[in-house]
Amino acid sequence: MVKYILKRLFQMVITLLISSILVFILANCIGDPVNMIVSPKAPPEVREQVREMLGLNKPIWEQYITFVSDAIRGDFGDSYIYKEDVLGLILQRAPATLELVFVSVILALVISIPLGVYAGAFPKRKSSSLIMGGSILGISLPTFFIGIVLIFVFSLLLGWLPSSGRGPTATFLGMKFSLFVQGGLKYIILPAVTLSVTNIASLVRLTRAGVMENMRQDYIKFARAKGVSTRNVLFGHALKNALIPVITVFGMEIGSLIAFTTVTETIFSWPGLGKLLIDSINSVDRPVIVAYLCLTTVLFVFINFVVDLLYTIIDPRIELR
Amino acid sequence: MKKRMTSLLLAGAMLLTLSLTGCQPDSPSGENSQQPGTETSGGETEKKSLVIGVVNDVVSLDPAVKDSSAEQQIAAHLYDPLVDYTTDLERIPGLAESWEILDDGVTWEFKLRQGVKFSNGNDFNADDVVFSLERIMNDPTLEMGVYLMRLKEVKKIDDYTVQLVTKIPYPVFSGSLSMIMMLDKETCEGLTPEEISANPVGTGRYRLVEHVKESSIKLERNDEYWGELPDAETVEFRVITNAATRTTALLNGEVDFISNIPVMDVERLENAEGIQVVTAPSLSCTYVGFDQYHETGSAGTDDPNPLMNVKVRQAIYHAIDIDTIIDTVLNGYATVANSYMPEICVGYDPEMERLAYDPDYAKQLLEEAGYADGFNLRIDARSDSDFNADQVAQAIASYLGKVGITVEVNLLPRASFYEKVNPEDLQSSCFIGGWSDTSGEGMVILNDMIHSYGDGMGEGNNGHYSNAEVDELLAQASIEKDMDKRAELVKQADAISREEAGYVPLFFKDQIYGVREGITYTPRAGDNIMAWDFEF
Repeated sequence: MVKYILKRLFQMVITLLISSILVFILANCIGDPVNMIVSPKAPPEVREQVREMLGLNKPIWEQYITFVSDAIRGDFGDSYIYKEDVLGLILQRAPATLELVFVSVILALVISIPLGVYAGAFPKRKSSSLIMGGSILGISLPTFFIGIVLIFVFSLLLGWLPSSGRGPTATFLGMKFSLFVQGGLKYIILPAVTLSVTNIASLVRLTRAGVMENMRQDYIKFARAKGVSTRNVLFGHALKNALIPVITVFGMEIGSLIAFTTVTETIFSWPGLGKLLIDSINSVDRPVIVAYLCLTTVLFVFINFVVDLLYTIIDPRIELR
Repeated sequence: MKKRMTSLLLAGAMLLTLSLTGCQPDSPSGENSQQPGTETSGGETEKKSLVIGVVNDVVSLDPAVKDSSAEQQIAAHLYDPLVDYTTDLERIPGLAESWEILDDGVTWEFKLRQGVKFSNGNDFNADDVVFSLERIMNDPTLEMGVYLMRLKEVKKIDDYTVQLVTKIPYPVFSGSLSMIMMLDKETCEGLTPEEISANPVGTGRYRLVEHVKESSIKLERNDEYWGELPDAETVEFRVITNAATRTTALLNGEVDFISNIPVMDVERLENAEGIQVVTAPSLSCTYVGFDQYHETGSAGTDDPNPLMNVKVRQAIYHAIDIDTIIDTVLNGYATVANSYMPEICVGYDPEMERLAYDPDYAKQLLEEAGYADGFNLRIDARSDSDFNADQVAQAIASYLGKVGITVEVNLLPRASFYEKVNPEDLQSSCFIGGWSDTSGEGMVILNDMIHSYGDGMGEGNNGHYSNAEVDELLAQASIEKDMDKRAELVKQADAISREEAGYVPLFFKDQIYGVREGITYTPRAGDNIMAWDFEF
């Protein structure tokens, strides 16, 4: 186990190095940050001064080495635009995204797993084809469209839910959350639903496929013959064996939800990480982009690790090596 | 009404939780914070509150950090400049009661307003002026420094008199000063911009209640303000980035006012009950710029650079049908430009007309220039501008195609675009640019845009248009105190650059606002939205 974790850590360092080099070079191609920092009316001397202050006059490999040696000490530098510590900036925005992802993940699980099992167990029923049709719609519709339709229906026509913003927040463990505040909950509903639609759709399909395959296996027939209740057959046996691909995909999706909620956050003005990323890309705020994507790499490696651990719990035949 | 009440109740509940959890240490509204909730349940005495939907949050509440209208509009609520300006860009006394230029022509003496207090109770005096100005002059990363480029030194004469000495005689310096906000020396000395932003101390009409990053900025009226009190007692700038969401928020009453309405949403808002659409011409000029710097090797066109030829530039000017572009691309929400200068400027010439749309004449000019078979041209334009630069570029490309010029439209995101058109290292032969200036002085605009580039002049003249006569006229205008004479000089310089087609002015995009019924909004020149332009 320890050996496995060490191996994983080593892999993570390599991944981080490669991805940071890539991000560093690519961020350099977006444009010259000095044009974004200095007023367009400023004279060339001021531009040069700023360039020097930020160390942008040095060759790119030298900048990269400085970045890595600082990053090892936990210093990702200051944002060009906000002039704040990048890590602090990201941590400030993280709670908003995390709670949004949390709600949408819960939604996705609660809705997709039962629907998927149902559609897999009784594939010939009309209701099952309805679920499958709906899931195709869910996969195909782009997020921004779903978001705008939801706003139109629930906030403009019906007037039930607010169209944007995060609503009231309360401090919990030093971070601001809106989940625990009474009025805060209704702000999260529309963005969370928007975010979960695609996931629900793909998880339904995966669960269904897995369950359908398992339903044809002998052990299910045997369980039935033994008189195990339908519920136990479906959720205790068929689902459990269908879970491996579901969990793999689910893990990856949590990762991309946390890292790339950009579209949803922009539509609903949700002040989270996705909006920070897109703003930073637009203003060539390289320290933020690089730190953000490095953290995302860590996040994905971590999630993959957790998923691997879950495999061993679900299927004892799998060993960590 | 019901919705408004609930939102107010929510706001009250929120303030309550905030004060309970103590995550907002220096709330200036300590004892007031629970009032909105209790008041609305009483009914009658509802506070005059204004919720404004804006596109982006500010980067900093330190007024010196960024030179953008979004930042300056919030700063103007919290702080005051020495010299203020009206909705028509006329200069009026701000924290300076009066000023005069001394006989040497470069020394400005300002008499400061007495008895003005900062939000922390400190007195405003000459030390604060010296501090606020020197702070910007000494730090190149503070963008507002561009407005003080001509300032040499600041001298305190007594507690309520300061002298500002400019490097050269510059009669419109008071206009530049209207961009510079006054900070409290005792509070801000030694603080970083982030610290100043976290706890802004100003003399302005409003005080900060709360700034939730990327969400909202809440202000309350400063009832001790030295000037006329605005109607709105509380103001909230709420960040709603997505245009469709912003429109919805106005329609269902979550906000009272929005700006930057996309032209396609205008009709829907006009037909909605209880909402009024207000349009006003902006100061932001969209234009076509030409590379007039590289004799050979201009990026994206033939060799030698055909745009060096005045006839070619004139031909392009004559080939563009701006009226049709405005009607089709901008649904009519724009005003034709005949110069970089908006109508409101000193030196704007209402008699002047654009070079007329005449494709046959354009062809003739190209023939005379030796380009009967046309040439290749690349138009660079931003893909993410708020004045539809991408569609404008495509329309222009088709007009130029009709007179035989082969155009490639090259759309770029903001950062890459500015890198291409950077005047130090111009990598574009032709581009769609935008320029906005709130000085109200044609001389200032033309100094930036058509004066030869270099030595602090022609900062917006990315294409390096250059004419010695224009430079001379503008040099005279820069030191001319008499407004009419200055206007005359500016008009002459403007006429020359038009004649030579140094650029093609296209249009001033209209600002489109939506406001809830019951509130009257008077738009001001420029993009800034000020809470005191609203009447209840």
